[in-house]
This record gives sequence, C-alpha cells and structure tokens, in this order.
Amino acid sequence: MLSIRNNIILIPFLALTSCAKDLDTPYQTTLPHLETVQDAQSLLDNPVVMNYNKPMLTEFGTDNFFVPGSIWVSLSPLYKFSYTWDPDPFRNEEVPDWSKPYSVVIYSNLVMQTLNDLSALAGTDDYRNVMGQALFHRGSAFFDIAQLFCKPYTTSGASTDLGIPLVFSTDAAQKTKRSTVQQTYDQITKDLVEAEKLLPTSANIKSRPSKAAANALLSRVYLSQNNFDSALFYANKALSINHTLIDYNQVPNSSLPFRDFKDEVIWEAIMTASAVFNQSSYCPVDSVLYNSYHDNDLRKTLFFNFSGGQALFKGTYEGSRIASKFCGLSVDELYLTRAECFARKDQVNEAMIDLNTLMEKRWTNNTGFAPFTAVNKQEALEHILTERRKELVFRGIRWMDLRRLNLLGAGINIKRIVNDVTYTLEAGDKKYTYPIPKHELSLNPMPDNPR
Amino acid sequence: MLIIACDGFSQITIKARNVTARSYFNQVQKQSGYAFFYKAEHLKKAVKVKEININGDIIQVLDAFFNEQPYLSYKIFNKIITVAPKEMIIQQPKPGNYSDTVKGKIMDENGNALPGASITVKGTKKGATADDGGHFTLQNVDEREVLEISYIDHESETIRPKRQVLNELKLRRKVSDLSMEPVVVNDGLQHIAKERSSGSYSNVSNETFNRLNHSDVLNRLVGVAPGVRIDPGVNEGEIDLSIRGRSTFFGNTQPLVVLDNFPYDGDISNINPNDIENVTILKDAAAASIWGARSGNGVIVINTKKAKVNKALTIRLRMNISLTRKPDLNYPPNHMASADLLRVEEMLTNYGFFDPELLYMEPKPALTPGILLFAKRRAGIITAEDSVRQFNELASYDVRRDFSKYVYRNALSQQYAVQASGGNPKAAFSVSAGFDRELSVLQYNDNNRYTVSTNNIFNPVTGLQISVGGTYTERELNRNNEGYGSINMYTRRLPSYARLADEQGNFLPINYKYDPDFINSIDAPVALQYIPLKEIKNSFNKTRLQDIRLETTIKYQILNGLRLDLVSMYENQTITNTEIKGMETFYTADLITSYYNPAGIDERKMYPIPRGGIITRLNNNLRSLRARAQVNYKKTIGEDHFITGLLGVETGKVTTTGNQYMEYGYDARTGTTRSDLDYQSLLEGYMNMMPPSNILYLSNPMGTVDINRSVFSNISYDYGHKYIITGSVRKDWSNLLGIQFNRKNVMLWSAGLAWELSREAFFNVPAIPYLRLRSSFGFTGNLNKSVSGLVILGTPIPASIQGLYRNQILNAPNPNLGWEKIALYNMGIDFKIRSLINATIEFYTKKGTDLVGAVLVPPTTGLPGLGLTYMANATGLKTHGVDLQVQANVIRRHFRWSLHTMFSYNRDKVTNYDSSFSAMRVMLSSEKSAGIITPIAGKPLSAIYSFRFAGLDHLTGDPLGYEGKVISSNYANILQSGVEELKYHGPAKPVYFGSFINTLGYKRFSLLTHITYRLGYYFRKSTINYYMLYTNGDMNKDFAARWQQPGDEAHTNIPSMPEPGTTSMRDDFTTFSEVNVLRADNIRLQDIKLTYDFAQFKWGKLHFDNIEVYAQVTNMGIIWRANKAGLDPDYPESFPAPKIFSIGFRSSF
Repeated sequence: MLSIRNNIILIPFLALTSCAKDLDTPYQTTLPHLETVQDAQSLLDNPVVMNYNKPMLTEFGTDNFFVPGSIWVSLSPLYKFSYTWDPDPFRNEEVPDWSKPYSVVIYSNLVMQTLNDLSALAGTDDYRNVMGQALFHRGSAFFDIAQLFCKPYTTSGASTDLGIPLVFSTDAAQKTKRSTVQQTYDQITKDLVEAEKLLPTSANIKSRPSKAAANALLSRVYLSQNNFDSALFYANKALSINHTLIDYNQVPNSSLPFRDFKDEVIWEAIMTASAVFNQSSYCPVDSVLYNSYHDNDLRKTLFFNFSGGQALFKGTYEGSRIASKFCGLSVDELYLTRAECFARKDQVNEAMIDLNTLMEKRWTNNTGFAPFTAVNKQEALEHILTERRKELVFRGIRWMDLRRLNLLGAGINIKRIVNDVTYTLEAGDKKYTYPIPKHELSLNPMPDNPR
Repeated sequence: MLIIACDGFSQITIKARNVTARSYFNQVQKQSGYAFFYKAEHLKKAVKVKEININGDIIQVLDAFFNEQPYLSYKIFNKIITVAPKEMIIQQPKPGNYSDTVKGKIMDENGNALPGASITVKGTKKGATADDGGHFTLQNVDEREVLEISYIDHESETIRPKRQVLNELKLRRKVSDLSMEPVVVNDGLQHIAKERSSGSYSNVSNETFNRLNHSDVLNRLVGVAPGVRIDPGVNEGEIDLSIRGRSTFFGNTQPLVVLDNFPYDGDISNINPNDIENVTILKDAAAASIWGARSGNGVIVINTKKAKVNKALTIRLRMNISLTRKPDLNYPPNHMASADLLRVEEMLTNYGFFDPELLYMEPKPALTPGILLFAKRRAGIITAEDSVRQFNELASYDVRRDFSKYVYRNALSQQYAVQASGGNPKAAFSVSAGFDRELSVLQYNDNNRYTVSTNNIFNPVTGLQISVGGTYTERELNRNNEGYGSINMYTRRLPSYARLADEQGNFLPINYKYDPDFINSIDAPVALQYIPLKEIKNSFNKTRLQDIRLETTIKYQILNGLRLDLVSMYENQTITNTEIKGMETFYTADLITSYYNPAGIDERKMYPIPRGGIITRLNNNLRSLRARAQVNYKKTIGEDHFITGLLGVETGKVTTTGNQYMEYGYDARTGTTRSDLDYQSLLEGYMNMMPPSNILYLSNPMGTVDINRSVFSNISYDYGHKYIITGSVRKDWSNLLGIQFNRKNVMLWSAGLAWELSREAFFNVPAIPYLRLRSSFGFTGNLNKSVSGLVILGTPIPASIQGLYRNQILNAPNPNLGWEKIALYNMGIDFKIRSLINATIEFYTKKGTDLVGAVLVPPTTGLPGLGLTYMANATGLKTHGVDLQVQANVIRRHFRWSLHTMFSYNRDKVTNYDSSFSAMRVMLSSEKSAGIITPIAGKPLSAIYSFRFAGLDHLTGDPLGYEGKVISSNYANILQSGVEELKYHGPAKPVYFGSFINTLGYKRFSLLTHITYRLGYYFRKSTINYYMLYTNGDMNKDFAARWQQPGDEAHTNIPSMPEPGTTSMRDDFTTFSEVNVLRADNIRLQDIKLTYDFAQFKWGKLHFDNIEVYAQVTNMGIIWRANKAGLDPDYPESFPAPKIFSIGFRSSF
C-alpha cells in the first residue's frame, strides 16, 4: 500500500521531464525569425537601410554648393562644423555617415550568416543571388566609410595608413579594431569581385545589386585608388551590360524632371536624409559652377531651378522621392570614368568618343551639338574632369574626386565664407579625412585620425 | 500515559445508548471491580447520556459519563468511586502528572474554522495551533488546568477542559471594524499560519477590500496595504500599481497576479471584486520566491469566494449605485482667455506668420476663425468696425462651456452582485452572479460587465476532496469620445473661443484640416465638414471580451499529514475590437476624397478608396492551460517540533493569437466590405490633398507562446512556536529567453528565520503580550518579454515599388540574455501593546542584478545606425525601504474609535547603468512611469532634473540660465550642456506614503475616513510655450502672468512673449527650467463612508444575518499640497480623479 502511495507522488514529477523540447519554441510565433533565403532577401530589399542612407558628407564637404550664413547659424553642430571643416566637426553628435553604413554591414553579415546555415541550398539561383547582394552591399558600405574616415589610397602609404574597422561578426559585444588602408581596399574589392560572380547580369529592380552594379562599383573603387587600368577594365565590363543614356532632349522640364528609375540607373542609392542638405533651399549651388554650364547645355535647366539670383539643385535621379539625392551607380558616371582612364593612358581619341557620346545626350539638339575636341591628354583630361564635376554634381562623387585628384597634383583648394569668416580646405589637407566619431572612440577605443 | 488505578482490569469497554447513571455504574463495576458509592437523591440529578462508546481505563470511562453531567462529579479512593454533586467533591491532589490529550475545533462566530488560532495552557508554555480545519490537539493537559484560546482580532476565551474532546469552541470577533491581518495567509500554494512564517505578507481582508466600491480590483487596493503604491498610469484613468517600488528597468513592471492558485493571464478588469474573498500581497523573498521567476515585482494573491462544507444556505446581496461628477474644465492649465488668444493671433497674422498657409500652401490648410478674421482685415476685405465686432463676439465664447455641456456628463454607475452558498458534510456549492454598468463621464463611453461563477466541492470518500469551479465574464466597452484636448483642428489646437454648438444646441462645424474655402472650391464626392459633436455621436468603437476560466482541484489525504493536491486550470479569453468609421465621418470622407480620381474610367478607378465606411477589426485570443501537482507534508514530532513542507511541479502554456486588419467600403446594411482594392499602385492625390500614396494595407497578425515549467519546494520547521526556520527553492524553465539551454532556466531560493520573543521565559513585559522578530533573504526574478536572443523580423511589408516584400530586424539579438535576479532582504517586527495596538514594522532592501538594460555599443556594430538598442543583463538597481502598519482600537464600548495607519518609505538608486543621455532626453523622460526611462547611476530610476534659472532679463523679459557659472541666454548652449550641469531635484515618485483610516462608531453607525499622503517627490508643471503657441496654437494659463514690461521680473518668472520666428530653444529652456519644478507632496481625503448596520433583522419570514447600508464619497480631494500653483501633482495636466458619490447596501440571509 505504501509503495502505491509513493508512486502517486512520483507521477507529477515524471510529467515534468517529458516534453522539455517545447522549451525550444520561440516566444513570438507570428513574427518570423531570420531563417530562410526569402527572409534574407526581404532584409536586403529594405531600401531604407540598404539604399537610402548613404553618406552625405561625400557631398557636404565639397565646393558644389554653399550654405547662407543665416541658415548656417541655426544648423545643428554636426552640419555646422562639418561645413566649415572644423578640426572637431562632429562635436558629440551621432554621425550617421559612420553609423548608417555599419547598419548595412550588419544586415549583410546577418544575411551571410543565415545563408551559411543553409548551405544545402548553396547551388540555387536565389541563394547565389542573395549571397551576391549581401557581399555587394557590404563592399559598398566599406567603401563609403573608407572615403570619409581613412586617408586617400596611396600605394606607398596603404599598408601603414589606418583603414576602417572591418566588421564580419554579428555579435554586438565584439569590438572591431581598425585595419590598414590596404586591408580595407582589399576587402572591398574581394567582396565586390565575389559578388560579381554570384549576381545576375542585371536587375529589374534597381534597388537590387547586379553584375552591372558590381562592375560599376569596382570601377569607382579602383578610380578612387587612381588605378586606371582596373577602373577601365570594370567600366568596360559594366558598360557591356548597360550603356543606355537618357537623352535629355526627351526629358520635359518640371519641378522634378527625373522621375523614378531611368534606364541610365544601374543601382539605386540615396544620400542619408538630412534635413539640412535635402532642403534644397538651404543649399544654393556654387554660382561659379552654375555659370559654367553653357546655355545650350540642357543640364542647366533640368538640374537647376534659378530664381532670386541663386540656383537650387533639382536634378536628382530620384525625382519621385521627397528631398532625396541620388548617389547610386549609373551609366553616365561609367562613360566619364572610362573617358578619364583612356585619357590617363594617353588614348585621347577613345576618351573623347566616350565624352562626346555622353555630352550629345546632354546638349540641346536644336542648335546641333558641337563635339568636344582635344589635341592631347592634358586637354582631354581638362574637358573630362570639368564635365565630370558638372554631370555628377550632388551625386556624392565630388569628395572622392577631390581626394584623389589632389593626390595627382590637381592642387584644388576650396574655401567658404560664412558670416565674413573665411574657411579653407587646401589640397592634401588632413581634414580630407574625418575624425572617428566620439561615440565610437568612447565605446571602442581606437586610434583617431589627426585633424 | 500514567494511570494510578493500575490493576488487572485496566481496560474497560462500554457501548451503550441512552445510558442512565445506574446502568452505567453497573457495567463499570462489573468490568472493573470498582465499587460505587452515592446517595440516591444525588443520583436524581444525573442526566441520561445519549451515546457512550468507550474503550479505556477507569478514568476515561468515568469521564465519558461525567463529562456530560452538569451537576455530578466523582472521586476515586481505594477502588471506591464516590459520586456526589460537583460542589461536594473535593478532588484530592493526584500524585504525579495526571495528564491527558485534549482535542477540539476552534471556529469563529459564523462557524468558520480559524486555522492558526492558538490554544495555550495558562501559566505554562504549553500550547498548540489549530490546523487548516481549525482542529487542534493538546497533549498532557491536566484537567485542572485552564486553557486559553486566542486568535488575532478575536476576544480570547478561557476554558477548563473537562472533556477530552471539546465541542466546537467559538471565538467572538473583537469590536474592531478593521482586521487587516487574520493570522492565516494564503500565498496561492498553501495556507500558512502567519506565525509559522518568516515572510512579509499583507493580508487584505474581505471587509477591507469591500470598504471601497470600485468595480475593478486594483482600485480597491488604494491605501490598504503598506508598501503598495498606486500611481496614476500613463494613460488617463489608468493606474499603475507597484509593490515596494519598481525593480526593473525595461522588464515587466506589474506584480504577478495569482487568482485561485494560478497566475492570472487574462485582463485583471475581468475579475468581479464582489467575488473576492480576500487578497494577500506577498512582498519579500520568503513569500514571493515560491512564485519563481515572475515574482520580482511582488505577488498579489486573489482568492475568490469558495463553497464550504457543513454550512447552511446563505445568500448574499450587494448593490451599489454611484455618481461620478463631471470634471472641472477650469482645472487643466492648457487654456488662455479667448481675448488673449485673439490678440496673439492678430499680432501673428499682421506679422505675416501665417502667410505661407494663407497665400501659398496647397491645399490651403485650416486656420482658426481669428486668423481668418485678421487676414481679411489686413487685406481690407472687412472694415475695422466689423473686425472689432467679430473680435468681441469671438472673445465672448469659451469652448470649455461647450465641452462641459456636450462632451461630459455626470455619470451614473451600477453594481449588483448576488452569491449563494451552502453545503452538507459531503458536498457544498457556491454560485454567484454580478452585473456592473459603468458610465464614463465622457458621453457615449461606457463599460458593462457580466460575471457568473460557480464552485462546487465533493467529499466522495474520506480523505478525498474534489472541487470544480468556473467563471464566465463578458465585457463590453464603448469608447467613442476622447474628451477635452482630443478635438483639434488637425494641425492646430482648438482655440479657446471655438464653438461646438450654438445656443439652440445645434452642432457646429469647425475648421478642420482644410480651409472652408478650399472645401467649397472642390467638387468633393462626399461631404467634408467636420462637426466634432457629430463625429462623437457617429463614432462606433466597441470592444467585446469573453473570458472563461475553469478550475479543478483534487485533494487526497495519502497518509496522516501527507496530502496530494492536483490542480489544473484552463482559461480562454477572446477580445474583439471593432471600429467603424462611416462615410459620414471626416476621416473616411477625407480619405475617399483624397484618392478620388474624377477621370477614372470606372467606379473602381474613380474611387480607389470605395465609397462606404472603413472598418478596423482587432481579434485577440488567449488560451492558457496550467497544471500543478503538489505534495503537502505536515508532521508534529514530540511536543515541540512541527514540520510542514510542500513539493510540487507546475507546467503552463499560454498561447496568444491575434490579428488587426482594416477593410474599406463597409456597408452597414449588408455588413459587407470591398476586397478588390489596388494596394500596389502609387496614386495621385485629388487636388493635391495628399502626396502620391498607396492605399494603406493593414493586416497585422500577432502571436506568442509562453511555455513554463517549474519545480518548487517549501519547508518550515517550528520549534515550540518560538523559533521558526523556513526555506524555499524553485527552478523555472521558460522558452522566453536564450538560445542556450542553461539560459532558459533559473533557480531561485529563499531562507527565513522567526523568533517569537514573547514566548521566552525571560521576556516578561506585561504591556507587550506579543513580540516576534523575523527575517528573510532570497531571490526573486523577473523577465523581459520584449527582448529575445534570436533575430526577429517584422511582418513583411509590401514595398510601394515593384511588388517587393521588405523587412527589418526588430531587435538587437543577444544570445546571452538571461533572467533578471532580485535579491531581497526583509526584517520584520510584529508586536502588540496590551490589547490596544497591533503593529508590524518591516525593513527591507532589494538589489536587482543582471537587470536587462540598454548597453551602449559602438556604431561599428551597426545597431546604433538602425536605432536598435542592445539589451543585456548588465545593469543594477538598489532599493531600500520601511513599511509600518499600526492598528489601534482606542475606544471600544458603545462609542468606538479605531485607527489604522500605514506608512511606507521607499527609495531606489540606479547602481550602474552604461548609457549617457543628453540633458534634454533626461528631462523629457522620467515624467511618467512607463515612458522612456533614462537611468543615471547614483540617482533614482525616476527623477526630476531641470536647468538652473537666473530670472528674467530686466529689459527683454527673456529667461536667463547658466553656462557653467555665467548667466546666459544662449539657449542653444544651455540645451546642449551635459547632464552634470542639470539641477537634480529629487525622485519623481513618492518616497514617503501611507494612509490613515479612522473609524468612529456609535451603536450601529460607523463613520470611516480615509486619508492618504504622498511625500518627498517632485513634478514638473507646464508653462506657456510661445513657439508652440505660434505654430500649433498650444495655450497655457501662465500666459496671463507673463513679463510685459521692465520691472515685471520682480514678481513673475514667466518670460515675455517673443518675436515670431524665434527658435523653440528659448521655450525648451523655460519648460525645463527649475522654476517649473514643484514639490509634489500632498495629503488627500480619499474617502468618507457612513454605514448603518442592521445586524440581525427579521422581515416576515426572511431572517437576515446582516444588512448594511452605506453612503460614500470617494476622491474627496486634496487637503494639503506643497505647491502653490493649485495643481494636483498626480494630474498636473489632465483632470484629477473625479469625485464619486455612492450609496449601496450589503446583506446576507
């Protein structure tokens, strides 16, 4: 009798040991966990994270525009002091130009980590495509950071100059140290070359990377290193996939002339939505630059809205979105890059053909387009670089160009006058490299960039 | 047992009915050989004994007879038994320890067992405590000794144990109206005699709980237990209950509610307070740790009325009618005199402030009648005379009058409850039903609740008890009116001179979203007028809730002292919310019009949002299944060793599923909606009424599953009621956290010690008959359901372009997440002073470690860029406090006076927190309990900070602050200063709080007053924000007292009205400057209640045990406040808790 009673006591305890597996059930049942290739794709298809938060300092520090003094005083410190190339430009502010690209990195890394757990699917098109996209996005983000936070690439200094922290882990507790500039660029090109192998040739959805985009970005990356052979090689590859140019004669002038995804666009990206920069009324275009557009140049009217004695930029390739500035990859940039590479290699003819192919679509055909001519490399480069600045204005390219051209001895000194104070940024100034934001330094100590 | 008559006939067996003295004596004589000696006349006084069934020695056998004899007694000498009247028998001292066992049952006047009642032998330390059934056994009692039976709040009784088995001993309740602490506490797992525990419990008796007549449980707990603080909630009308302060940053802050044995998963408002028998609040580790990982915020154990065996049929009725007064619309500070506002609007219009709206914006937005008037005057459309006339007309209106008349009302609420219960020794039942109808002071808002519940007990065989119970609740909530402040002009506040209705009571339109001229100029397919009172009248927002809860309990006595309990519970709660915005509502009309495309080729293209209503449905279902098996053990070893313990396992699974979705084209007649909408295309707005947009597709499925398993054990050892050692241990497993198995479980334990000093021989203070010290230490836990170790994605959103589904990471995954642990130490002293004062004082500390908090991570992790906060078990919080409770029965005759007072002290301090916040962020938070919190190490979790204030500028009336030590009006720099520059005022939550409950009684009348106090904290009052006044029309009463000319700074701190176009920084500085931080300390008269008790009452054939009628006023208001601004610190912006007048009666028969 006693033993039966003892057993009764034991029954409930036996119940506990069963179905311990239930404890593995996730608490949230409807919200998906990151598990499938489709989940991974849906993350990369989030343009707000992946495409719409590209750095804006790539434009903000340049000579394309100015901020009137009355507006400048009311800017928040980050913009106020970045604008004047202050030694301490960020003060204690959050710096989206640093943090947002790293968000792209963590999304990409999470996607890659998920895909690594699904290696059985590794041969499928979807898997390859998503993996390629993730690699592309990471390479692109590393490149964006490198343009602002490490010194311009030089063959002599790259192995000793400090690069960016290259983050591969998704563990937030991990602290990543700085690499060298060489390691940074090696990683960027490695990611992009790998991506190029996996991605489909072109993408109908412009926010998704493609082979064309990977080649176009590689071309830009090598150009930033003044490596003209490789830049030319990848520009060629990209243009062999897409070389469509918009004929500006076909674009009706309006308040936002370039609506949505033009064929010229290879990959869509937008600079981070900063109220200051995207309120175009705040940032009139540099008047010398505006006046340099010929009256027969359609870009003068399609790109700018001239009223009250100043020109405001309206020519972004993201016309349908409110206050956004396109900084993605497009065919016009490839023509200009290829033209420059040809010219650098003394292939003046090829260079001028590329330049004129583009300019023909930009010039009014009412009066007939008179092609640019050059008798030598120097003249060709002069034309190409002038048109490059005018074509790629407000596209986040100018900063990279200033850095690399000054390395080649261009000697471009830029200055701003704010409320009667003159600020200058001279060629080769160490202010071409931004300091590491204080939020990073305090939580993850690392050597800062000298200013 | 020692027996003196020790011979060969020691065992005697007698079985007989209707025994006479003679026949009994004969039998005894035959079996024992003892002879009887008596006088015949004496034997006439003997009474017949109904039944004797005895097997024992001579004394026992004789006692069996003589105990029933009122007049006769006996004595034994030399085998001769002398029988005589009691007064003639002189017992000679018996050699040695004559002793015996006395058994009995202790009950209250109503026949309810009093477990935990104590019975002691007077003059000795011998004693016993009644068990759950009120039974006690006392050994070695000499029949000459006097026993004293006592029970808290009951009059002590003394008896002489003339028999071994004593009849039911009834104790009368003391003449006190307040009995806060019956000795037995029910912690949800077991009934514990309070004096056998070391834990911290507050017991809220039925009587106390019913003192207030709120229709929800939490509101009835205001001011009834020390350490329990009730603050106004984040949303109006909500309350926030905390036990001994907050013990988590971001985790669940609510105490665990245990309803009849199990954690309650449903909405606490489902519970009808009239069904509740009592409430126990578990505050320390010894008490709460048995509830494991969810007990960190304390536990509220609610026990409903249960069937009781062996009770006559009783019916209880309760009825209550209350009137809630409409709020005083003059109270909220967000108001300006109509003329003042008009003058500001005139100044702004003439300045050109509204020119963008008046001249350029497309479509032209709604502006106030004042602005439109001044614009017309400026443009020369109307004459100065007309302008003045219209100005004066507008200035004569006050929109608060309209609100008071058309939006609010004095609301009548009703509560009815009936309960019937009864039972015989084999079975018992209890049935109850309740209906509550609560009208809100806001018209068209109400709340109905129907509850039915039943509980049945069967005792099929000895030692087995089965009980089955169930509760069904149905609630219906109508929320159609959001009240004052919710009606606006879309982007601007409603001006103080607006009108909701004309003199005849016709509802009037207001300018809303679009300028009336714009609306008239377009060919809108539906009427676009916005008439606020009509919107309220046409609103349909109904929530239905159905909740069913079933419970089964099986109790089986396996062996003496060993009982197995099997308990299970099933609950199913369904909530449906339906909101219909008909085509006549502005929202729907606006949406239809904005998408309207007159060029559309068919109905579908013309009306992308179909004509008809918009219906939003929310369905939510909760299913919970819980079961527990538990073995209870109880053993007395020898005289002084008492051991009780339990060991159990519990398992539970709570599943929630739900969906919220929106449908268009709702036709009220057919109940149909349209499903053929084009959600994908980007559609142009009609007349630029919106930017190109998609039609909002709302479908939001949600679901969770919460699986728990636990093993727990509890043990207590009691030595002679003097020393008690208790211990508990519990292990919990949950699917909530962690990827690794060892993160999914947590082991919590507690240990306690109690010492009843007054039982010690050396303790001999007549004034203090009872003194007990107790102390406990242990761990409780908490967890945060909002964090997860896994990567969680959102619901995929169809992107507006190209049919992509995009998603995002919702959390910063942390695979190392674990439980929060709270170490609790509690020390308590319980004592009595004579029979007058009953007091408990407790000291405690709480130390939260491994609390989940935000940990700053560098931007290279990618999380800051995504706006995700990395949560980890990395923060700490320390709390200490004192709880004091005193009950005094000062006078208790015809005139009665009793006082019950509570005092609590609670202070917390963040020990470590790894985040740095900006000064502004710190000040924007901390205002409300559940808002954003910004813990700063070394400071309370909720604290009030401000900018230092240096007065107003003599020439301009600008507010002045400090940059370091320098007086400055550079607001940009001041606002960007570090947290260390801020002035710290103090906690935002009361540090000292408590209540006084005073009861005066005369004969059958009693008058209760309840005063509460909250001290030692601060609040921020609102003030005029000129930036918001200009851009939004936000008003504040302070405007009238602003600086207007040099010299005003001597008597005002309210800055001058600045030029339009200045930044918001000047106002931000003023808003958060120290002049707007006030001491919040206050004393309020919570309620007054007058009761008349008819007691026993006969009416025809009905015999009432009790009828009580009462009248009560709740929320009488503030008696004293530290602030001079006339503000209720708990409601500085919105309306204070409304006064409620109620009358009602309670009866049982």
